Amino acid sequence: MVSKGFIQTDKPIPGPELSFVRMFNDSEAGWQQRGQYSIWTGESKEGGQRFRLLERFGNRVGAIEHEDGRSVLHKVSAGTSFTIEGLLGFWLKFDCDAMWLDTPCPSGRYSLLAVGGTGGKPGQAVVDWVCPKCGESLDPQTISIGSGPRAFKRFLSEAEGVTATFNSDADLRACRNCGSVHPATTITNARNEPERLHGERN
Amino acid sequence: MDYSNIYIDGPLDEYVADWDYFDDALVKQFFTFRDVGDNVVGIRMIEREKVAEYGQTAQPVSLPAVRKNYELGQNGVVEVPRIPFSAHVTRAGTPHRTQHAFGYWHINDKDEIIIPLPPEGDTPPRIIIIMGKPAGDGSDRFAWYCEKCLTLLFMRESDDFNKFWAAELDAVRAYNADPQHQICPSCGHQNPLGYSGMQSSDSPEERAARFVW
Repeated sequence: MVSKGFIQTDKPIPGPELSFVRMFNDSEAGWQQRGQYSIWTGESKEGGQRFRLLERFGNRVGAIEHEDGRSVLHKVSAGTSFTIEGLLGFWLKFDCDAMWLDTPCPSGRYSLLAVGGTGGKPGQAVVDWVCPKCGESLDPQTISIGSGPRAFKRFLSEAEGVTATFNSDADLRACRNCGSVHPATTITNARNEPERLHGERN
Repeated sequence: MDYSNIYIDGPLDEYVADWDYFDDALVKQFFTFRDVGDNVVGIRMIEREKVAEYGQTAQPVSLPAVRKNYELGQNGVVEVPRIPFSAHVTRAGTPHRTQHAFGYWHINDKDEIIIPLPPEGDTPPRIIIIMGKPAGDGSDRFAWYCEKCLTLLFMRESDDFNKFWAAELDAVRAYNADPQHQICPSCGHQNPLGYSGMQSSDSPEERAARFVW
């Protein structure tokens, strides 16, 4: 005897969802949370704003790239503070790994960040800003991401909120270590709107 | 934001080891699957146009350029494209297979992100596979469905990803061992033999099957 579980009699038996495709040149899609990953892709046109992954090493910053521009496949480890130039107006730290792909293409470069893959993660993120003069952490804010199909979009909205607070308060942007004031930064969003000029008010 | 005042002083390797999995010194570790923390990563080279002949030197796990990818859903078998510079996500629970690459339907509990990249310099086209590291109750299933009517013929399951290749080959050999496994109980169709994703494991008969489906 094999239990078939509960089967609704008035609806078809639910089946697994077939695959979906995320084209790297689809710049309109923004972040996409679907299944076990939240995925972002971006296209950097030749000569234009480049999406570039930076990671923090103590109070220093390093770009995850080769000088000759060849492709990179990299793990952003859980607990590593990172940002993507041209996309994020803050630094992020997740409680799970993320995978970064950066590759040349005929129009410039394509980039992909896939966050997740493990059950219930990412469950928490730290949004922060880094003093560009001395590398000091300025205003770390922990955000619970939660679960559900819209959890990551809610997290992005919350990150926008704490960014707005950061931008509106010069005291938050003042470095306690060196005294320099971080300029107001990008309000990031899920639609990949272009980065505003540093210091431009929102 | 200009961080030039706080850029690292030396090469990136001094701050983080093994930071690029495409690196020549690392990439071979990904020709099967490598656990990299929360995820498992595979890098497959498309090293030739067609399936290697039996006895011909080839990477243990590689892909021929001539291949198709399929998934099995409620409406039957669907061919799914592999478009360069895109991320195909095969959802957990979906039976899927790659023609000439592995001779069974793979069913697992993790989404698989599959990224085809075109040639780059001297590097041939590549397929990148990223999926969550199986843990807990997660399993891999190796299944055969009748190619005519999709009746399930045979299936084996493994719940230890560390033994993926051994379990996979055991399943292939168990399916191939009894000709009755390959005969559909519903329509009577004689189905081809299975074969491993590790082509170096092929018997002559399995290599012949690799050419077929």
